[in-house]
Amino acid sequence: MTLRAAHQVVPTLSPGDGVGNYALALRGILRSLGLESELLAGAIDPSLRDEAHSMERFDAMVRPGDALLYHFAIASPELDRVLAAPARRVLVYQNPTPEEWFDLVSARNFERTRRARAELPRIAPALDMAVTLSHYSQEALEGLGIPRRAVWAPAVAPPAGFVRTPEPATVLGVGRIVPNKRWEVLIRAMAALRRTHPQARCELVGNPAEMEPYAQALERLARRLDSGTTLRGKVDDAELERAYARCTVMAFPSGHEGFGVPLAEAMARGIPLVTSRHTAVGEVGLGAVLQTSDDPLEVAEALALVLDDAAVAAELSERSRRRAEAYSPAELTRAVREALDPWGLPS
Amino acid sequence: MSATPTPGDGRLDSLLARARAAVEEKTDRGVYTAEFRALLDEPLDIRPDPAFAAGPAWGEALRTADIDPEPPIVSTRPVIGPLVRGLKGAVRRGLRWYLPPVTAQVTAHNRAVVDVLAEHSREIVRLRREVEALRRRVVAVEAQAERDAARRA
Repeated sequence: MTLRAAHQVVPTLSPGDGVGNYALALRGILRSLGLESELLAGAIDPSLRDEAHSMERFDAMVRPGDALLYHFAIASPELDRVLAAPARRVLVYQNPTPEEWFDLVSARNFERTRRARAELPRIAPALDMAVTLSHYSQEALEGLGIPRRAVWAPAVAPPAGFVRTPEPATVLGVGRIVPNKRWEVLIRAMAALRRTHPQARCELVGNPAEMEPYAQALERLARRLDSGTTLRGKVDDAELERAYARCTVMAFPSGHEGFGVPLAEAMARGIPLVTSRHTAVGEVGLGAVLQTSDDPLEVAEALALVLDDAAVAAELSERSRRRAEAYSPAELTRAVREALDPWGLPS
Repeated sequence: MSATPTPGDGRLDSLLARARAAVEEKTDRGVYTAEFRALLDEPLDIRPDPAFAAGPAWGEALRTADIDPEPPIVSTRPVIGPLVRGLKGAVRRGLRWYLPPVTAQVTAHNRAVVDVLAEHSREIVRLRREVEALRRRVVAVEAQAERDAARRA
């Protein structure tokens, strides 16, 4: 029997959201494989109304034998509908951030991620396949008895015509303003860097929504340490590309990632990187980036190395580009095809 | 938090070694003083999310604190709907001298109450953490005292 459709369910679809962007990219690939593919969401941002269907259409759209991909990042009421559907159920495990990262910062997210992680053993028996975005995230699925597993790493590519025009001593941080990103390590490293590079500055680009206690603490820290760091908040895609283009080096000190899309995006743009080595960060930046300890002084000196030595910057830039080839649309298409082929892809 | 080990890459390892050597060299030169390190080691000053103490109702308290004196005028009744909307609009215009100042006062009061509650909730969170830490210390001290007593016996 040939697979007819592979639909996806996300709890919320909003612009600039990593899960939503990944689901939209997957939809294109699923359609390119000859499958019907639509996106269903519990909540849809008005600007993306044309991209997704409300969950009210769920029963009409999902038919027996279809593949149904559920993006699992937080606990949501849509999950139980997916589990009860007469379809081939695929969990896209987005590796919810462990709740302890939200302690003191967001009671709502603490509870939602705690529930999400606790639910995994309950839902595993109902799954036909589970997908993760990194090999690291597969660890969480070990021993749960899920019949088939696959890794579908997100595809990243710079926009056509992207050109780097680095400005002197400009450090960039990209990612949501959430505690697991550990932006405080970067701010402290900037304070250290500026002891010998007083002209150095840092732009921190990311959405602080629902994380105000953390964002405010970072603002206070950045001022107190005279770190030359500006928290720019959420920016649109064009401004993000400008930030990527003008930075000399990007830092990514994250403590927990299921993949780390900004890291891969920066590599695809040939940006030298200084990162942590925790969770999926170590895997994604493998052999391409300077993976330091969590000591802000070591991070500062790794950043200084890139700022001061053009040959090192050029070498890391080239390593980034080469590593990002593993995260191309062609690679993602190949991985999706390989995973769905046993269910009979249309010829 | 687990760290994924990277396989040996001689070149990247040597760059990291350079960075570490620079830390040592600058520490010796007095660029990175003990005081500066202590400054960097200070914990992040997070003012806790009041919802950790106030519970899920906290979001609703925030959402409804501001009173809108002019909510949308709606009437979906057939035929007479426009008339009803016009009438409601006229009543609202007639009460404009009275209602907006009153709702502004209620909003100001609600915001002040929310601020007080937020501060109290944060303090409760801090105190709970202190109590937890003290409990752990008491347990450790008691265990040590029992071990000491057993040794003496």
